[in-house]
Amino acid sequence: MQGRSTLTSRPDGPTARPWSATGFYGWLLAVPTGFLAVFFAWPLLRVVWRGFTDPHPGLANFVTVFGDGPYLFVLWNTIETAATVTVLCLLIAYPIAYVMSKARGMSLQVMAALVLIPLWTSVVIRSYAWMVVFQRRGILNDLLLAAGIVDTPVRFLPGSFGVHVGMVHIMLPFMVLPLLSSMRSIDRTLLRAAAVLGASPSNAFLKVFLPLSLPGVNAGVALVFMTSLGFFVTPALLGGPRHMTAAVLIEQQANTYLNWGLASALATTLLVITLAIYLVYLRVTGGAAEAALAR
Amino acid sequence: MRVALPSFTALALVYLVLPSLIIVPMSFSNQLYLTFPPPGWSTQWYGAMQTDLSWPQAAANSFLIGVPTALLSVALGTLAALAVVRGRLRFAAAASALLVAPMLLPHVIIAIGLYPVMLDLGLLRGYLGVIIGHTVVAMPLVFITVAAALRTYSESLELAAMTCGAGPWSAFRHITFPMIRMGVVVGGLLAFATSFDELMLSLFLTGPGTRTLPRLIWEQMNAYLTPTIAAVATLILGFSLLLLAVVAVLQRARPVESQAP
Repeated sequence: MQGRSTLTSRPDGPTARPWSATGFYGWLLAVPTGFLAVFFAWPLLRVVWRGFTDPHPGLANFVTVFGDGPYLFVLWNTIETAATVTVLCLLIAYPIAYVMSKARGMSLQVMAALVLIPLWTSVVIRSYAWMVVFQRRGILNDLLLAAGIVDTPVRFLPGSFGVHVGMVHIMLPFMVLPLLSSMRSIDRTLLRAAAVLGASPSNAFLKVFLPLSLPGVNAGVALVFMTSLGFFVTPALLGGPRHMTAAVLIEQQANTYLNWGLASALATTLLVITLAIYLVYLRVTGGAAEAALAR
Repeated sequence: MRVALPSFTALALVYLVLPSLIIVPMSFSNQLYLTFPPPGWSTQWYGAMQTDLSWPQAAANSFLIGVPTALLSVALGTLAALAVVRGRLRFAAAASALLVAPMLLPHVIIAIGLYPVMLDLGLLRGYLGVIIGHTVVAMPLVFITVAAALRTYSESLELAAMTCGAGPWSAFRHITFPMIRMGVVVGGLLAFATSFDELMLSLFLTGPGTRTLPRLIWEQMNAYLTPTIAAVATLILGFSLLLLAVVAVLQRARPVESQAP
């Protein structure tokens, strides 16, 4: 619901803990936590355990991951891709969210629909659509040839260009929504006050609006970066072996090569990186993960 | 600046929507190869989709897995939200961090972890195994939407009901549930949509008899890019937009930003 009321009017503050008629609801947590313990925490522990024990106990799998070889490169490529996608998303989403935060009525409804539609469209199908756009005799090449920009079709696939375009496309709404929520909570009279006091519009934006929108920037950046680290469909379809990411590599090692020990070691490494960013995310959004996401 | 900003936004929004829509004309092509715009029109690929029995079967599987996933997610996610928002938990923030985590961690890690667990339990390649797997990643959405709904009104309503003699179940049934009903329904639809689109867990947990639409599209896509996939994708796109429209109507009174996943 409305972000501000969610955060400020929480009945269960950390210090005040008066008696409550529904206090015993806390016991209900046992059921979902039990479910997650068996089907979430336990599987993750098994992955970590397997990374150290399969096929032999020891650090062999991790030596392979971090030693000379393609694996460290793939991990680095994953982080680099996620970082690039995050920066691109922020640069594209910030103006969108800014325009949306000022819009009212019908134009806001239309823009909101355009942001939400991709969110509901299958990731597999969207990656398929990008394949159609980027293939050798695809739409983009047709346009480039017709415009006379190139003489022969450009080979976009597989490659990092397609991966970036496809991933930014999928992550953009996840950046727009936290930014929008943060911008809508900014008190516009502050900008008027800045103008009255002699600030130019650009100065008012840089010194007042931008700093006040930073909570949304932080939440969006952490959310997009964390999600981008685990991307599978888009890099697998558009990136190919030249632009492999950790999720693709893990799936391949487990499903194709049945090398579960190495897959588990890679997954453990990815898990540690993602958890670290999740902790940062919890910190920048103020702890209650679900309240931050629901805004 | 006055022109640049709106035009940039318009361009970016076109980038967001257009790619998903180009598959629609593709699916009506009369060519075997994906050319755009298609030189001629036909519905042959929709026919091809029906004659190849694997498509209807995968569609049925997606529903047989998606609907129970939504129901199980609703049950578990609502319990979790009641506990975290209404219960007097000292570790409420930690609990909510745990409950949201499955949605945000890479699915591939959960998938390779669940595979041996389901193997041990004898649930691999059956419906139940993948339903459980999808519930792990879909339940957080129900938790988030129901928790948000619970926070819109004061618990003094439940207190009043219980003071007037309502038991816990009666208070939930007549006070709490009517207040959070929209959150529950929207959360359930989001959970269904998550299951309907999920690929990674399906790759590891389903078998030939239980494979879902995303998995079948995935397998076909790696083999060849025919317009049949575009036909299937168009139908799925239409169905997803229908779900979005339902959610939008349900949430009409709510502000835009509350629809975040």
